[in-house]
Amino acid sequence: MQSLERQRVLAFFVQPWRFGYAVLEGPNNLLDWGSKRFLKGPRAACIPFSVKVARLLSKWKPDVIVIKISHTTGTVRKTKIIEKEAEGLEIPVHLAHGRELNDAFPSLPNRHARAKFISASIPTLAGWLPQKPKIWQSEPYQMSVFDSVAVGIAYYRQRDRFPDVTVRSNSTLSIESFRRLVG
Amino acid sequence: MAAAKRLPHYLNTFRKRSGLSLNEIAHLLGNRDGAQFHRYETYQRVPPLDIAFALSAIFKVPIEDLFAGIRESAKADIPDRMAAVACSLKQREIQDRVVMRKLSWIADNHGPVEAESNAALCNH
Repeated sequence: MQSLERQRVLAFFVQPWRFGYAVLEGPNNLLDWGSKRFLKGPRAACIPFSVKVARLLSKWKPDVIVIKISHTTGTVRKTKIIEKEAEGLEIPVHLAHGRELNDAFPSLPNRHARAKFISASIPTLAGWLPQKPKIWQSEPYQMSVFDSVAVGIAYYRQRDRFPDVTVRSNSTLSIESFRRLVG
Repeated sequence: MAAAKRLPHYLNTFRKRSGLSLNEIAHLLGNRDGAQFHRYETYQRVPPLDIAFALSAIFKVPIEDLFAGIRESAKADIPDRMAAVACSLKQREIQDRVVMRKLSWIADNHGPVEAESNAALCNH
């Protein structure tokens, strides 16, 4: 068992059209962050999602992976791909629900307030904080970075509440269905 | 609880925090392009000492924080090896002034060496 504060956590916030990731070594020590789009059309197969995840795992060698659960069709599939990649490297995966995120930041009413709080506590991200979008505007891509950082911080704050999903020996995802998803 | 294993270095993290590109860092290091620094970042090459000090000066980070994992792994074996050296010194037949001075330096800087716990190391 490793000291929680020093665990290297790779947090994912997966949305149907993009995913954000953050690598943390302690709640205030952000090592890497980013947001990547899921391309559609002919460019979709250029770099499959599984390859992007595998690169992140091999680069940062996380002790734990935390994924924000969403029940949208595309995101469930992507979450399983992350779990599969983590399983190969025997990295434990924890799933975070919305309520864990809300409980980790109790006084913050919405995602933008949370992003503002995170940019104040991690000055590196101050330049990434987007303007609060109007109701008719689309979500700024930087929000997925702040959401993934929030997932990582929530893990540090409320470790006991995160259900452990892997490492499990019998994956529910067969090789055929995995190939279909990736390919 | 054991501490998590640190990465060999945090060059990518500090470069990303600075916002500088590979080519800009290469220019600061006096290189032609960012290819060599990319090799350092991706663990394909270990930067030489002069580059390590230059990077420490560029990022304004102590070298032991920048290369935390390398530092930890380099330090990890020193106590055992020091014990082995002390043990071999103690086993010498002639305990002259030079040997005593070495042993006293080891004891002052690295603590007393217990012969029982390092019996295996003495045989190396």
